Amino acid sequence: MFIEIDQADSTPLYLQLRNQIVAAIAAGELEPGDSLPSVRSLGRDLGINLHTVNKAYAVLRDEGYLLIRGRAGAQVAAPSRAGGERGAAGKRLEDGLLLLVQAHKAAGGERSDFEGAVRGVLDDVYQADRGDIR
Amino acid sequence: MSVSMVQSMFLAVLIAVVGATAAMTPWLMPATECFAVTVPAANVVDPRLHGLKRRYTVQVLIIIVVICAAMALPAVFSWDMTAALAYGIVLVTLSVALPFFLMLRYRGRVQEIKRSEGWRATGARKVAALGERELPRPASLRWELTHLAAAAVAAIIGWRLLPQMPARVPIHFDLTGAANGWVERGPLAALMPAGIVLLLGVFLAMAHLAIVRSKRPVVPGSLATSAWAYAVFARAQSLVLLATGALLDVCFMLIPLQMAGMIPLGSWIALILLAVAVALVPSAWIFVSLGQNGSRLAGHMASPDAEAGIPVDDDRFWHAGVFYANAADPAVVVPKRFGAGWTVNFARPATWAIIAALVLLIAAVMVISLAQ
Repeated sequence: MFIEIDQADSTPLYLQLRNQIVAAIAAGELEPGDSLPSVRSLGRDLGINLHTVNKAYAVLRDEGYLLIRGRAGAQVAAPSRAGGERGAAGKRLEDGLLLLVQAHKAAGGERSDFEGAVRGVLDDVYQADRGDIR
Repeated sequence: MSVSMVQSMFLAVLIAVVGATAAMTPWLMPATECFAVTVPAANVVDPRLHGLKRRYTVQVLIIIVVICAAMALPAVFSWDMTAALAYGIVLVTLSVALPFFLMLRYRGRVQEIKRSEGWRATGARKVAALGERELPRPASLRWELTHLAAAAVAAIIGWRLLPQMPARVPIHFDLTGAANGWVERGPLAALMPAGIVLLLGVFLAMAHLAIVRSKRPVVPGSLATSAWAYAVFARAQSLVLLATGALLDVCFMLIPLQMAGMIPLGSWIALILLAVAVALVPSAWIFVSLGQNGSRLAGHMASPDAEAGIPVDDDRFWHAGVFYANAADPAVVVPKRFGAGWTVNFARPATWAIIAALVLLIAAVMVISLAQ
Protein backbone atom coordinates (compact mmCIF):
# COMPACT_ATOMS: atom_id res chain seq x y z
CA MET A 1 0.00 0.00 0.00
CA PHE A 2 1.11 3.52 -0.70
CA ILE A 3 1.26 6.68 1.31
CA GLU A 4 1.02 10.03 -0.42
CA ILE A 5 1.77 13.45 0.98
CA ASP A 6 1.40 16.88 -0.57
CA GLN A 7 3.78 19.53 0.67
CA ALA A 8 1.65 22.19 -1.04
CA ASP A 9 -1.37 21.22 1.07
CA SER A 10 -2.17 23.32 4.14
CA THR A 11 -2.55 20.23 6.35
CA PRO A 12 0.67 19.63 8.31
CA LEU A 13 2.71 16.75 6.85
CA TYR A 14 2.71 14.71 10.04
CA LEU A 15 -1.10 14.87 10.09
CA GLN A 16 -1.27 13.82 6.43
CA LEU A 17 0.87 10.78 7.30
CA ARG A 18 -1.16 10.01 10.41
CA ASN A 19 -4.50 10.29 8.62
CA GLN A 20 -3.42 8.03 5.78
CA ILE A 21 -2.06 5.35 8.08
CA VAL A 22 -5.29 5.44 10.10
CA ALA A 23 -7.26 5.20 6.86
CA ALA A 24 -5.14 2.23 5.77
CA ILE A 25 -5.77 0.46 9.06
CA ALA A 26 -9.50 1.17 8.73
CA ALA A 27 -9.53 -0.20 5.18
CA GLY A 28 -7.68 -3.34 6.25
CA GLU A 29 -4.68 -2.52 4.05
CA LEU A 30 -2.60 -2.48 7.22
CA GLU A 31 -3.32 -5.23 9.70
CA PRO A 32 -2.23 -5.73 13.31
CA GLY A 33 1.34 -6.99 13.29
CA ASP A 34 2.27 -5.38 9.96
CA SER A 35 5.60 -3.58 10.05
CA LEU A 36 5.84 -0.01 8.93
CA PRO A 37 9.01 1.28 7.27
CA SER A 38 11.64 2.78 9.55
CA VAL A 39 11.53 6.52 10.11
CA ARG A 40 14.68 6.95 8.03
CA SER A 41 13.42 4.83 5.19
CA LEU A 42 10.04 6.59 4.94
CA GLY A 43 11.65 10.02 5.26
CA ARG A 44 14.08 9.13 2.47
CA ASP A 45 11.43 7.82 0.11
CA LEU A 46 9.11 10.79 0.67
CA GLY A 47 11.90 13.35 0.81
CA ILE A 48 10.63 14.84 4.07
CA ASN A 49 12.30 15.64 7.37
CA LEU A 50 12.84 12.65 9.68
CA HIS A 51 11.36 14.62 12.59
CA THR A 52 8.09 14.88 10.67
CA VAL A 53 7.88 11.12 10.21
CA ASN A 54 8.91 10.63 13.82
CA LYS A 55 6.16 12.94 14.98
CA ALA A 56 3.56 11.09 12.89
CA TYR A 57 4.68 7.74 14.33
CA ALA A 58 4.69 9.21 17.87
CA VAL A 59 1.16 10.57 17.47
CA LEU A 60 -0.03 7.21 16.13
CA ARG A 61 1.64 5.44 19.05
CA ASP A 62 0.01 7.80 21.55
CA GLU A 63 -3.36 7.24 19.91
CA GLY A 64 -2.89 3.50 20.21
CA TYR A 65 -2.60 2.63 16.51
CA LEU A 66 1.11 1.73 16.49
CA LEU A 67 3.58 -0.08 18.70
CA ILE A 68 7.16 1.18 18.51
CA ARG A 69 9.45 -1.75 19.13
CA GLY A 70 12.92 -0.20 19.33
CA ARG A 71 15.17 -1.79 16.71
CA ALA A 72 12.30 -3.71 15.15
CA GLY A 73 10.62 -0.44 14.26
CA ALA A 74 6.95 0.41 14.16
CA GLN A 75 4.19 -2.16 14.00
CA VAL A 76 0.45 -1.83 13.65
CA ALA A 77 -1.12 -2.48 17.05
CA ALA A 78 -4.07 -4.76 17.63
CA PRO A 79 -7.13 -2.60 18.28
CA SER A 80 -7.71 -2.41 22.00
CA ARG A 81 -11.22 -2.51 23.33
CA ALA A 82 -10.09 -1.70 26.85
CA GLY A 83 -11.76 1.52 27.95
CA GLY A 84 -14.50 1.15 25.30
CA GLU A 85 -16.77 4.17 24.96
CA ARG A 86 -15.14 6.13 27.78
CA GLY A 87 -11.57 5.46 26.60
CA ALA A 88 -9.31 8.00 24.86
CA ALA A 89 -10.52 6.85 21.44
CA GLY A 90 -14.15 7.39 22.48
CA LYS A 91 -13.40 10.90 23.73
CA ARG A 92 -11.61 11.73 20.48
CA LEU A 93 -14.63 10.52 18.54
CA GLU A 94 -17.00 12.73 20.52
CA ASP A 95 -14.71 15.78 20.30
CA GLY A 96 -14.30 15.35 16.55
CA LEU A 97 -18.03 14.88 16.00
CA LEU A 98 -18.87 17.92 18.12
CA LEU A 99 -16.73 20.14 15.90
CA LEU A 100 -18.29 18.75 12.73
CA VAL A 101 -21.87 19.01 13.95
CA GLN A 102 -21.36 22.56 15.24
CA ALA A 103 -19.82 23.65 11.93
CA HIS A 104 -22.68 22.01 10.05
CA LYS A 105 -25.38 23.70 12.18
CA ALA A 106 -23.57 27.07 12.12
CA ALA A 107 -23.62 26.91 8.34
CA GLY A 108 -27.39 26.33 8.45
CA GLY A 109 -27.33 22.60 7.82
CA GLU A 110 -30.20 20.26 8.70
CA ARG A 111 -29.84 17.37 11.13
CA SER A 112 -31.12 14.88 8.53
CA ASP A 113 -28.48 16.01 6.02
CA PHE A 114 -25.76 15.35 8.55
CA GLU A 115 -27.16 11.92 9.40
CA GLY A 116 -27.28 11.08 5.68
CA ALA A 117 -23.69 12.15 5.21
CA VAL A 118 -22.60 10.07 8.22
CA ARG A 119 -24.36 7.02 6.84
CA GLY A 120 -22.70 7.49 3.46
CA VAL A 121 -19.20 7.68 4.96
CA LEU A 122 -19.86 4.72 7.27
CA ASP A 123 -20.98 2.69 4.29
CA ASP A 124 -17.80 3.59 2.38
CA VAL A 125 -15.37 2.77 5.17
CA TYR A 126 -17.00 -0.33 6.61
CA GLN A 127 -17.63 -1.91 3.26
CA ALA A 128 -14.34 -0.90 1.64
CA ASP A 129 -12.74 -3.70 -0.35
CA ARG A 130 -9.68 -4.98 1.54
CA GLY A 131 -7.70 -5.46 -1.64
CA ASP A 132 -7.87 -1.87 -2.85
CA ILE A 133 -4.58 -0.25 -3.71
CA ARG A 134 -4.63 3.42 -2.90
CA MET B 1 50.17 -5.96 -32.33
CA SER B 2 51.83 -3.37 -30.15
CA VAL B 3 50.76 -2.62 -26.59
CA SER B 4 49.67 0.86 -27.64
CA MET B 5 47.40 -0.56 -30.35
CA VAL B 6 45.77 -2.93 -27.84
CA GLN B 7 45.27 -0.07 -25.42
CA SER B 8 43.81 2.14 -28.17
CA MET B 9 41.47 -0.62 -29.28
CA PHE B 10 40.34 -1.28 -25.71
CA LEU B 11 39.69 2.42 -25.13
CA ALA B 12 37.85 2.70 -28.45
CA VAL B 13 35.58 -0.25 -27.59
CA LEU B 14 34.96 1.19 -24.12
CA ILE B 15 34.08 4.61 -25.55
CA ALA B 16 31.84 2.98 -28.17
CA VAL B 17 29.85 0.93 -25.65
CA VAL B 18 29.52 3.71 -23.10
CA GLY B 19 28.87 6.28 -25.81
CA ALA B 20 26.17 4.24 -27.55
CA THR B 21 24.43 3.76 -24.21
CA ALA B 22 24.74 7.48 -23.50
CA ALA B 23 23.20 8.28 -26.89
CA MET B 24 20.13 6.26 -25.92
CA THR B 25 19.79 7.93 -22.52
CA PRO B 26 16.88 10.27 -23.34
CA TRP B 27 14.76 7.25 -24.34
CA LEU B 28 15.67 5.29 -21.23
CA MET B 29 14.64 7.86 -18.63
CA PRO B 30 11.19 7.94 -17.05
CA ALA B 31 9.07 9.63 -19.70
CA THR B 32 8.08 12.52 -17.45
CA GLU B 33 11.74 13.51 -17.07
CA CYS B 34 12.88 14.90 -20.41
CA PHE B 35 16.53 16.01 -20.32
CA ALA B 36 16.21 16.25 -16.53
CA VAL B 37 13.19 18.56 -16.78
CA THR B 38 9.85 17.43 -15.36
CA VAL B 39 7.05 17.44 -17.93
CA PRO B 40 3.39 16.44 -17.52
CA ALA B 41 2.58 12.80 -18.28
CA ALA B 42 -0.05 13.89 -20.79
CA ASN B 43 2.56 15.88 -22.78
CA VAL B 44 5.21 13.18 -22.94
CA VAL B 45 4.38 12.42 -26.59
CA ASP B 46 4.78 16.06 -27.68
CA PRO B 47 6.55 15.92 -31.07
CA ARG B 48 8.86 18.74 -30.08
CA LEU B 49 10.21 16.71 -27.15
CA HIS B 50 10.53 13.68 -29.41
CA GLY B 51 12.49 15.77 -31.91
CA LEU B 52 14.92 16.94 -29.23
CA LYS B 53 15.54 13.37 -28.07
CA ARG B 54 16.13 12.19 -31.64
CA ARG B 55 18.58 15.00 -32.41
CA TYR B 56 20.49 14.31 -29.19
CA THR B 57 20.81 10.60 -30.02
CA VAL B 58 22.05 11.23 -33.57
CA GLN B 59 24.51 13.91 -32.49
CA VAL B 60 25.99 11.82 -29.67
CA LEU B 61 26.39 8.84 -31.99
CA ILE B 62 28.26 11.03 -34.51
CA ILE B 63 30.54 12.33 -31.75
CA ILE B 64 31.29 8.80 -30.55
CA VAL B 65 32.05 7.49 -34.04
CA VAL B 66 34.43 10.38 -34.72
CA ILE B 67 36.20 9.91 -31.39
CA CYS B 68 36.59 6.16 -31.89
CA ALA B 69 38.06 6.73 -35.35
CA ALA B 70 40.40 9.34 -33.88
CA MET B 71 41.63 6.75 -31.36
CA ALA B 72 43.51 5.09 -34.21
CA LEU B 73 45.79 8.08 -34.83
CA PRO B 74 48.53 7.26 -32.29
CA ALA B 75 48.91 3.73 -33.64
CA VAL B 76 48.76 4.75 -37.30
CA PHE B 77 51.36 7.50 -36.85
CA SER B 78 53.41 5.66 -34.21
CA TRP B 79 53.24 8.30 -31.51
CA ASP B 80 55.29 7.72 -28.38
CA MET B 81 53.60 6.33 -25.27
CA THR B 82 53.32 9.60 -23.33
CA ALA B 83 51.75 11.50 -26.23
CA ALA B 84 49.41 8.59 -26.95
CA LEU B 85 48.32 8.47 -23.30
CA ALA B 86 47.69 12.21 -23.13
CA TYR B 87 45.79 12.04 -26.41
CA GLY B 88 43.73 9.12 -25.13
CA ILE B 89 42.83 11.02 -21.96
CA VAL B 90 41.73 14.04 -24.01
CA LEU B 91 39.52 11.86 -26.24
CA VAL B 92 37.93 10.07 -23.28
CA THR B 93 37.24 13.42 -21.63
CA LEU B 94 35.63 14.71 -24.82
CA SER B 95 33.50 11.58 -25.12
CA VAL B 96 31.95 12.45 -21.75
CA ALA B 97 32.03 16.26 -21.90
CA LEU B 98 30.49 16.78 -25.33
CA PRO B 99 27.34 14.71 -24.69
CA PHE B 100 27.03 16.49 -21.34
CA PHE B 101 27.02 19.91 -23.00
CA LEU B 102 24.56 18.65 -25.58
CA MET B 103 22.30 17.51 -22.74
CA LEU B 104 22.53 20.98 -21.19
CA ARG B 105 21.54 22.61 -24.44
CA TYR B 106 18.52 20.36 -24.93
CA ARG B 107 17.59 20.77 -21.29
CA GLY B 108 17.41 24.50 -21.96
CA ARG B 109 15.10 23.90 -24.91
CA VAL B 110 12.75 21.73 -22.84
CA GLN B 111 12.69 24.41 -20.14
CA GLU B 112 11.68 26.97 -22.79
CA ILE B 113 8.87 24.73 -24.03
CA LYS B 114 7.76 24.11 -20.46
CA ARG B 115 7.65 27.85 -19.73
CA SER B 116 5.84 28.76 -22.94
CA GLU B 117 3.24 26.00 -22.41
CA GLY B 118 2.79 26.91 -18.76
CA TRP B 119 3.37 23.35 -17.54
CA ARG B 120 3.26 23.71 -13.80
CA ALA B 121 3.07 21.50 -10.76
CA THR B 122 -0.41 20.98 -9.32
CA GLY B 123 1.11 20.41 -5.89
CA ALA B 124 4.13 18.86 -4.25
CA ARG B 125 2.98 15.25 -4.07
CA LYS B 126 5.31 12.50 -3.05
CA VAL B 127 4.50 8.84 -2.74
CA ALA B 128 6.16 5.98 -0.87
CA ALA B 129 5.37 2.30 -0.60
CA LEU B 130 4.49 1.00 2.86
CA GLY B 131 4.06 -2.66 1.99
CA GLU B 132 7.70 -3.37 1.24
CA ARG B 133 7.77 -7.08 1.84
CA GLU B 134 5.99 -7.81 -1.44
CA LEU B 135 8.59 -5.99 -3.53
CA PRO B 136 11.92 -7.47 -4.70
CA ARG B 137 14.83 -6.15 -2.69
CA PRO B 138 18.44 -5.39 -3.63
CA ALA B 139 20.86 -8.25 -2.91
CA SER B 140 21.79 -8.46 0.75
CA LEU B 141 24.75 -6.38 1.92
CA ARG B 142 26.08 -9.49 3.67
CA TRP B 143 27.38 -10.70 0.33
CA GLU B 144 30.02 -7.98 0.51
CA LEU B 145 31.64 -9.99 3.31
CA THR B 146 32.91 -12.41 0.65
CA HIS B 147 35.62 -9.84 -0.07
CA LEU B 148 37.07 -10.79 3.31
CA ALA B 149 37.29 -14.40 2.15
CA ALA B 150 38.80 -13.30 -1.17
CA ALA B 151 41.39 -11.20 0.69
CA ALA B 152 42.24 -14.19 2.89
CA VAL B 153 42.73 -16.36 -0.21
CA ALA B 154 44.89 -13.67 -1.83
CA ALA B 155 46.97 -13.46 1.35
CA ILE B 156 47.44 -17.25 1.46
CA ILE B 157 48.42 -17.40 -2.21
CA GLY B 158 50.79 -14.47 -1.69
CA TRP B 159 52.41 -16.15 1.30
CA ARG B 160 52.79 -19.53 -0.45
CA LEU B 161 54.33 -17.97 -3.55
CA LEU B 162 56.63 -15.62 -1.64
CA PRO B 163 59.70 -17.89 -2.06
CA GLN B 164 59.25 -17.79 -5.83
CA MET B 165 59.17 -14.01 -6.01
CA PRO B 166 62.32 -12.05 -6.83
CA ALA B 167 64.20 -10.39 -3.94
CA ARG B 168 62.76 -7.08 -5.03
CA VAL B 169 59.25 -7.44 -6.40
CA PRO B 170 58.24 -4.90 -9.05
CA ILE B 171 54.93 -3.26 -8.19
CA HIS B 172 54.98 -0.01 -10.23
CA PHE B 173 55.41 0.11 -13.97
CA ASP B 174 55.85 2.86 -16.48
CA LEU B 175 53.99 3.11 -19.76
CA THR B 176 56.31 0.76 -21.63
CA GLY B 177 55.81 -1.95 -19.02
CA ALA B 178 59.23 -1.50 -17.44
CA ALA B 179 59.30 -1.63 -13.65
CA ASN B 180 60.02 1.59 -11.76
CA GLY B 181 58.89 0.73 -8.23
CA TRP B 182 59.69 -2.26 -6.08
CA VAL B 183 58.92 -3.75 -2.71
CA GLU B 184 61.17 -6.05 -0.69
CA ARG B 185 60.20 -9.70 -0.74
CA GLY B 186 58.46 -9.96 2.60
CA PRO B 187 55.10 -9.60 4.42
CA LEU B 188 54.18 -6.43 2.51
CA ALA B 189 54.67 -8.11 -0.87
CA ALA B 190 52.65 -11.12 0.27
CA LEU B 191 49.80 -9.03 1.66
CA MET B 192 49.61 -6.33 -1.01
CA PRO B 193 47.13 -8.20 -3.23
CA ALA B 194 44.92 -8.86 -0.19
CA GLY B 195 45.10 -5.15 0.58
CA ILE B 196 43.92 -4.31 -2.92
CA VAL B 197 41.00 -6.74 -2.57
CA LEU B 198 39.99 -5.07 0.70
CA LEU B 199 40.31 -1.57 -0.76
CA LEU B 200 38.17 -2.50 -3.74
CA GLY B 201 35.78 -4.24 -1.36
CA VAL B 202 35.27 -0.98 0.54
CA PHE B 203 34.31 0.89 -2.64
CA LEU B 204 32.05 -1.89 -3.89
CA ALA B 205 30.36 -2.16 -0.50
CA MET B 206 29.76 1.60 -0.51
CA ALA B 207 28.21 1.40 -3.98
CA HIS B 208 26.05 -1.51 -2.81
CA LEU B 209 25.03 0.42 0.31
CA ALA B 210 24.08 3.34 -1.91
CA ILE B 211 21.65 1.15 -3.84
CA VAL B 212 20.17 -0.26 -0.63
CA ARG B 213 19.75 3.15 1.00
CA SER B 214 18.58 5.08 -2.05
CA LYS B 215 15.35 7.00 -2.26
CA ARG B 216 12.87 4.68 -3.98
CA PRO B 217 10.80 6.61 -6.53
CA VAL B 218 7.09 5.90 -6.97
CA VAL B 219 5.21 7.54 -9.85
CA PRO B 220 1.85 8.99 -8.66
CA GLY B 221 0.04 7.88 -11.83
CA SER B 222 1.07 4.21 -11.61
CA LEU B 223 1.88 3.34 -8.03
CA ALA B 224 2.23 -0.44 -7.95
CA THR B 225 3.82 -0.76 -11.39
CA SER B 226 6.48 1.91 -10.89
CA ALA B 227 7.33 0.68 -7.37
CA TRP B 228 7.76 -2.88 -8.61
CA ALA B 229 9.72 -1.82 -11.73
CA TYR B 230 12.15 0.22 -9.66
CA ALA B 231 12.62 -2.67 -7.20
CA VAL B 232 13.48 -5.02 -10.08
CA PHE B 233 15.93 -2.45 -11.52
CA ALA B 234 17.66 -1.88 -8.18
CA ARG B 235 17.96 -5.60 -7.48
CA ALA B 236 19.37 -6.29 -10.96
CA GLN B 237 21.99 -3.55 -10.56
CA SER B 238 22.98 -4.84 -7.13
CA LEU B 239 23.47 -8.35 -8.54
CA VAL B 240 25.66 -7.01 -11.36
CA LEU B 241 27.69 -5.12 -8.76
CA LEU B 242 28.24 -8.32 -6.77
CA ALA B 243 29.24 -10.24 -9.90
CA THR B 244 31.66 -7.47 -10.90
CA GLY B 245 33.22 -7.58 -7.44
CA ALA B 246 33.66 -11.33 -7.64
CA LEU B 247 35.29 -11.08 -11.07
CA LEU B 248 37.69 -8.38 -9.94
CA ASP B 249 38.49 -10.34 -6.76
CA VAL B 250 39.55 -13.30 -8.91
CA CYS B 251 41.83 -11.02 -10.96
CA PHE B 252 43.44 -9.60 -7.83
CA MET B 253 43.89 -13.05 -6.32
CA LEU B 254 46.08 -13.80 -9.36
CA ILE B 255 48.47 -10.91 -8.63
CA PRO B 256 50.85 -13.06 -6.55
CA LEU B 257 51.19 -15.35 -9.56
CA GLN B 258 52.19 -12.35 -11.63
CA MET B 259 54.61 -11.21 -8.92
CA ALA B 260 56.19 -14.67 -8.89
CA GLY B 261 56.63 -14.48 -12.64
CA MET B 262 54.10 -17.23 -13.37
CA ILE B 263 51.85 -14.87 -15.34
CA PRO B 264 53.31 -12.17 -17.60
CA LEU B 265 52.31 -8.62 -16.62
CA GLY B 266 50.81 -8.01 -20.05
CA SER B 267 48.55 -11.05 -19.68
CA TRP B 268 47.36 -9.95 -16.25
CA ILE B 269 46.59 -6.47 -17.54
CA ALA B 270 44.68 -7.96 -20.46
CA LEU B 271 42.75 -10.11 -17.98
CA ILE B 272 41.69 -7.20 -15.81
CA LEU B 273 40.73 -5.10 -18.84
CA LEU B 274 38.61 -8.02 -19.99
CA ALA B 275 37.01 -8.26 -16.55
CA VAL B 276 36.14 -4.56 -16.60
CA ALA B 277 34.67 -4.87 -20.09
CA VAL B 278 32.67 -7.94 -19.05
CA ALA B 279 31.41 -6.11 -15.99
CA LEU B 280 30.24 -3.11 -18.01
CA VAL B 281 28.10 -5.08 -20.44
CA PRO B 282 25.41 -6.42 -18.02
CA SER B 283 25.11 -3.01 -16.40
CA ALA B 284 24.60 -1.33 -19.77
CA TRP B 285 22.16 -4.09 -20.72
CA ILE B 286 20.07 -3.54 -17.58
CA PHE B 287 19.95 0.17 -18.32
CA VAL B 288 18.93 -0.36 -21.95
CA SER B 289 16.39 -3.14 -21.40
CA LEU B 290 14.85 -2.08 -18.09
CA GLY B 291 15.32 1.67 -18.40
CA GLN B 292 16.35 3.99 -15.60
CA ASN B 293 14.32 3.12 -12.48
CA GLY B 294 12.80 0.27 -14.50
CA SER B 295 10.77 2.79 -16.50
CA ARG B 296 10.82 0.70 -19.67
CA LEU B 297 9.66 -2.29 -17.67
CA ALA B 298 6.72 -0.29 -16.38
CA GLY B 299 5.88 0.84 -19.89
CA HIS B 300 5.30 4.45 -18.96
CA MET B 301 3.19 5.90 -21.69
CA ALA B 302 0.78 8.78 -21.67
CA SER B 303 -2.68 7.32 -21.12
CA PRO B 304 -6.10 8.98 -21.01
CA ASP B 305 -6.15 8.78 -17.24
CA ALA B 306 -2.58 10.01 -16.89
CA GLU B 307 -2.03 12.78 -14.40
CA ALA B 308 -3.01 16.16 -15.77
CA GLY B 309 -0.32 18.61 -14.81
CA ILE B 310 2.75 17.74 -12.82
CA PRO B 311 2.31 16.13 -9.37
CA VAL B 312 5.59 17.49 -8.05
CA ASP B 313 8.31 19.62 -9.60
CA ASP B 314 11.80 19.22 -8.18
CA ASP B 315 13.59 20.82 -11.16
CA ARG B 316 15.06 23.56 -8.97
CA PHE B 317 17.04 21.00 -6.97
CA TRP B 318 18.73 19.53 -10.04
CA HIS B 319 21.60 21.80 -11.05
CA ALA B 320 22.84 21.39 -14.61
CA GLY B 321 20.46 18.45 -14.72
CA VAL B 322 22.87 16.10 -12.93
CA PHE B 323 23.77 17.58 -9.53
CA TYR B 324 21.08 17.08 -6.91
CA ALA B 325 21.17 19.37 -3.89
CA ASN B 326 18.11 19.49 -1.62
CA ALA B 327 18.81 20.29 2.02
CA ALA B 328 15.25 19.39 3.05
CA ASP B 329 15.55 15.86 1.63
CA PRO B 330 17.08 13.36 4.09
CA ALA B 331 18.03 10.99 1.28
CA VAL B 332 21.78 10.82 0.60
CA VAL B 333 21.40 8.70 -2.53
CA VAL B 334 18.80 9.36 -5.24
CA PRO B 335 18.26 7.95 -8.73
CA LYS B 336 19.83 10.02 -11.50
CA ARG B 337 17.62 12.24 -13.58
CA PHE B 338 19.68 11.87 -16.73
CA GLY B 339 21.84 8.79 -16.82
CA ALA B 340 21.98 5.27 -15.45
CA GLY B 341 21.97 4.54 -11.77
CA TRP B 342 22.27 6.79 -8.79
CA THR B 343 23.80 10.04 -7.64
CA VAL B 344 24.16 11.79 -4.29
CA ASN B 345 22.41 14.66 -2.55
CA PHE B 346 25.16 17.26 -2.32
CA ALA B 347 23.19 19.30 0.20
CA ARG B 348 23.58 16.64 2.92
CA PRO B 349 26.62 16.95 5.20
CA ALA B 350 26.74 13.15 5.33
CA THR B 351 27.44 13.08 1.58
CA TRP B 352 30.54 15.25 1.97
CA ALA B 353 31.69 13.29 5.01
CA ILE B 354 31.55 10.06 3.00
CA ILE B 355 33.32 11.62 0.00
CA ALA B 356 36.04 13.00 2.30
CA ALA B 357 36.49 9.61 3.98
CA LEU B 358 36.90 7.82 0.64
CA VAL B 359 39.32 10.44 -0.67
CA LEU B 360 41.38 10.14 2.53
CA LEU B 361 41.41 6.36 2.15
CA ILE B 362 42.75 6.59 -1.40
CA ALA B 363 45.30 9.21 -0.35
CA ALA B 364 46.49 7.03 2.54
CA VAL B 365 46.92 4.04 0.26
CA MET B 366 48.83 6.12 -2.27
CA VAL B 367 51.11 7.56 0.38
CA ILE B 368 51.85 4.10 1.79
CA SER B 369 52.60 2.61 -1.61
CA LEU B 370 54.75 5.54 -2.73
CA ALA B 371 56.76 5.32 0.48
CA GLN B 372 58.04 1.87 -0.50
